Amino acid sequence: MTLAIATDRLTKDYGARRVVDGLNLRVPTGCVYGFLGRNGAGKSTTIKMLLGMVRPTFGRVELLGHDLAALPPSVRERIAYLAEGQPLYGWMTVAEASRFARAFHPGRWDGRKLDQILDHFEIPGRAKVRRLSNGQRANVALALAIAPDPDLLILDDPTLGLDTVARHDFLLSLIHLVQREGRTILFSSHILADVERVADRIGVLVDGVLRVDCPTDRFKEAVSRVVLEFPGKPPAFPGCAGLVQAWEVGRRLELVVVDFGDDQRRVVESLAPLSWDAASMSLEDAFVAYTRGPRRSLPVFDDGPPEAPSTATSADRGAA
Amino acid sequence: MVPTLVRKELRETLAFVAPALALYLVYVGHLTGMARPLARALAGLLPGLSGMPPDLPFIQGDFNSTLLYIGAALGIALGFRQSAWEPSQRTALYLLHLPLPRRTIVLTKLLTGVGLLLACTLTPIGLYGLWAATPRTHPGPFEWSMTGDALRVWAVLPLVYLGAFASGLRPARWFGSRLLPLAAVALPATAAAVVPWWWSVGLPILALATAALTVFILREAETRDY
Repeated sequence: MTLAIATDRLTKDYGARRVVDGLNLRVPTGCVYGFLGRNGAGKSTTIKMLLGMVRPTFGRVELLGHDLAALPPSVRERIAYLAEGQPLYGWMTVAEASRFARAFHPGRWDGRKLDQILDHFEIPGRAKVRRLSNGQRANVALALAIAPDPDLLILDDPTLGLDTVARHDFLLSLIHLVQREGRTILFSSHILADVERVADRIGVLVDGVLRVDCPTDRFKEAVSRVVLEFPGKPPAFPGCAGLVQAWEVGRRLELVVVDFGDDQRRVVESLAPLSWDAASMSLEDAFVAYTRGPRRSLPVFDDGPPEAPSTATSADRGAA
Repeated sequence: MVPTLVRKELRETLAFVAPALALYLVYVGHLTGMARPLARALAGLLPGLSGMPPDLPFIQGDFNSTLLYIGAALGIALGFRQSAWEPSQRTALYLLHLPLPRRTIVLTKLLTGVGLLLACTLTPIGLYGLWAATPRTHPGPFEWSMTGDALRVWAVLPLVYLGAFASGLRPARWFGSRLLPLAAVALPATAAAVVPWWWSVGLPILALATAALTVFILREAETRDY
């Protein structure tokens, strides 16, 4: 398996605050990778470090097999980047912005594809970029990014600030126009429904630490909500491997558990509840439950079973 | 690629260069008597526009100080516009991802800015000098060597621009410390402009300060976070 993005213990400190902590990110070639995390988790800083906009305090980055520190322009040309807010020069018209971008990709520019996208969204070439709606600007930025036929596309929260329809259109573009065999896409987002639609794999950053790095489906299937009914006040939950959260709601004890299996079942049954039920969650619910957990002891996901058993106990319980 | 970047910089700085050039032209128009009514109308805008033009061009009057005030204001505006504006609008993320070495992008900005500043400030010197060199335009004598002090002011202005560029590029905790590079150029710029030995002292001071600032800017552009 070749890697389009590989980082080695990537770390960034701002003063005394560590915003990205020893990140070992591996994004296989051809993968659509959803990069998730709450506000301030370190997603944008990581993406900026991947592209050399922010210097890491420690660690290194490889893009398309080349060390970022010595990335030649010919390789940079194969990497497209859409920063948060899709910054483009507002004083340019769409046609000027396209001519400007084309000048930097003389051998790779696909003007037909660009025109096709602009036509599809009915964006006139003479329109000033600053007069476009957020959705139109996002589509222009995407069209300009993919016109040089990049092998790696990195998008930082590309649907931020877009309304539902614009988001839908943008994702359609991403799915139909951007994806091609061998092209790798890494995008960060807060909107889990978007990620669910397009991402093969997800990574979840919690306080600068990559806690999840696995196929999207595996994450959804692995995070379960377990509800235990008791005749009276529930007993304190003793903790188990993979426990993310536990909280009481009246006579119920609710748990969020990663990889609920026989070991966890035995712990649950040892409490002798009246009844109990384990159900899988949507990606959004799983993400919310997971990232709300006790951050330092969250179970780590990768392609295999969770690496670190949770040390969460009743002391880590969230509020009901 | 570089010509495309130069065109972008020219377009983005037009709003600063055009008014400065217009002010220079009005001022030269006042000195040469070609635009006196316009100059009188704008007298409140520029102190040099009131009063009578001098008999001895470049030697009498306030040509050099007017050249300095407008040129320094243009240099500071250009420097900040070309450095601080892009990160504030986040377009730096777009610009710096273009497949060009970062050093090339920054040097292109610097050379375009210095070129514009020098061209704009040389215009009034050239026009006024040409007028003064034309017989029967004014009562006093004229030789091109009389433009020496004006040319020294002209040569020092890029240092002010570089100081502003460095201030705009350099992140700082508060505005005051951000202006340190701009404040720091005051000493070498003044020294280069006023010391009597231009070739042996003034020019070397100017060259050293310019080189130091350029190295600082290139290093800062390579190492700062965007």
